[in-house]
Amino acid sequence: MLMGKKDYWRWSENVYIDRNKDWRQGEIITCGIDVGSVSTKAVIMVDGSLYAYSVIRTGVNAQENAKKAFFPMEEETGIKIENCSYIVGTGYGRINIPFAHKTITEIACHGKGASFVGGKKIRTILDMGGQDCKAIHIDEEGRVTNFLMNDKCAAGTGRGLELLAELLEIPIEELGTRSFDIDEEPEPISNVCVVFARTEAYGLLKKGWSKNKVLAAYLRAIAERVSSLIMRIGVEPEFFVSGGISKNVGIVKRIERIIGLEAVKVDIDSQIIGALGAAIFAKALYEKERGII
Amino acid sequence: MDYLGFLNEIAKSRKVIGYFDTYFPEEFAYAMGLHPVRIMSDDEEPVRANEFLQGFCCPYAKNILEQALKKKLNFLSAAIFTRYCDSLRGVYEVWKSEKLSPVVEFIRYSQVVRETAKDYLSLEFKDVFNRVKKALGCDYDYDSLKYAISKVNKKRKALQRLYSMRKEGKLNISSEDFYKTVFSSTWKPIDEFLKSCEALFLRNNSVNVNFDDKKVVLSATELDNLNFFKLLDEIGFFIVSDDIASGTRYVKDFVSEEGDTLDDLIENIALRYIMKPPCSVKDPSDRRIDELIEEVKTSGAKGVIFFRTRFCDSEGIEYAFIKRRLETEKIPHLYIESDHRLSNYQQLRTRLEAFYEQIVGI
Repeated sequence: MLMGKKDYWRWSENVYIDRNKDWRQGEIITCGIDVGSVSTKAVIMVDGSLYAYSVIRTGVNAQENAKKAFFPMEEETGIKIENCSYIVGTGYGRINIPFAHKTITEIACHGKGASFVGGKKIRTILDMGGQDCKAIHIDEEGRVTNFLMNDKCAAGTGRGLELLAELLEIPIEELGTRSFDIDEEPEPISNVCVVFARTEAYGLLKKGWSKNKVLAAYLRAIAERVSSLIMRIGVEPEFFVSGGISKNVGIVKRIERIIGLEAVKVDIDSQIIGALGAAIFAKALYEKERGII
Repeated sequence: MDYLGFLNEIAKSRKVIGYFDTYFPEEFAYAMGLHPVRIMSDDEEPVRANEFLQGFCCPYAKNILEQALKKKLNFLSAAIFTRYCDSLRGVYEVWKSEKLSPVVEFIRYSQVVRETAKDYLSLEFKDVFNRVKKALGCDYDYDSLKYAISKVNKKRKALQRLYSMRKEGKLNISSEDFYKTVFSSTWKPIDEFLKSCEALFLRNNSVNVNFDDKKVVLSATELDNLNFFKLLDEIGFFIVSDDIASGTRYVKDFVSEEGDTLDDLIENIALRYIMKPPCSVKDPSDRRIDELIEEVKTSGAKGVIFFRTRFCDSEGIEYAFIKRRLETEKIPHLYIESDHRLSNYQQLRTRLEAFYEQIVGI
């Protein structure tokens, strides 16, 4: 890498602590850790309510990712892994969390997490992650009743967007808003494959298209592709979008337009929904093991 | 001894004839004193097979071609293909042109599942096996064919008993071991297979197991990778039944042993292979779907796992019909797509675990 070159793909890691709570006062502290292919998320709940979370980029050392995701919360509050009553691991790297009491798939965890934050009326969830995309149906308890998964190609995934950000030299967090800064919505690019799309995007730029217009064409293509996954499983309101790409308004709004349904918005980072669901399961499992419920 | 080692050993004392799908009428092979064996996939990555077949061809077809091109199947005296699918037809052409076995034959099946196809298929069987007889210096007659029919029927009967015991909870073995036994029926000598079944029946004579909430039915065509069954065991599923081509679709239906002439027996064989539970390349294929639903209902399974071999278009199309029926019957199901090597193992695992959580709970 050349000195001074900007990494447009690089999204910010973050940590959140609810300063109104003190984990030391809690009875049941549970943790959910979602080791995804691109980001690792850790959530701590105190007596069933959200206390802290952290989002970091997933590194190459599988076993270290979970610890690293927990560490920012430890640094801020003094809480340690040993203080957690029960830990559930999820995400593609779930089997590499040595201190997890149990692993649960991210599909079930997104269902539980979305129902918790979005309410009992949520029925359809779209989880757009780093390397795959899932459409999930849940019941009023957040239990999965059906799901579909696309893990065959990077289009519509976080990794695909990272490549696009680099290609267009637009910071990844601006991709969504900038895709609306155009005169007229263009036709989608014909090839959503991130490898071939690069060639097509280059061609469009050479033809004189603005970066924002190319971006809009690309995001529209992704939205159409992802929407077909949702429509295959059936769009049942209410609808919720989770995962890293849920922060990209350029994709979410276009999906809403295609499926004719607005996604439920919540005041929480929708990237942590899987880890949150894992922490909720952790509490239920802890209580079940102890005979509390 | 492993499967290939075993077959190499057998080939020292009798001619081994290889086939690739369960439309091959093995009765003829036994009647001629040959040892028929279904060639199973292994974990070879296609390298040489890619010289002959396109990337989007059936991975099973490519794998068996790879095995032959790498001379792993040199113990075969003959390879007999049937008109099963386009990929296997392509493999037949390559097999023949590359002379991968001393004898290479192709049984041209009718695609229709109708009794009227019986006369045609009888003639086709006669033609093909007359050529095999001449090429391998062997023969069959009324008595040897009748005896062979009865032997294969006995094998199918034993397999049916295995499946019934599994459904009734009277067979306490893992899915991996169960399918190891079932698939061995397509390559072990019949007497040896029957002996292993008897031993299994004896070992389980007072067993009563209950896997109620973990029962699922597996729907697939070409699926013989035991690691897949091991994965299902690890996750916690209990495969109570299936409609795999070399599973229940191989086991169901006997060849009638009635008939006074050789032609009668050949017609009986033709009829069984035309009318057996069809694969997705056959028309109509309703029986497969009807029986899949029936298996779910009678076994008390909680759902269906549908395994599609990657690039198998006919299975992909069939799935649309199966899906509709399963939805109508409100039977939860999971669609997965992979190949004989389970090259997307971790993704498969996630989907299967999620389905397990869905039907069994957390």
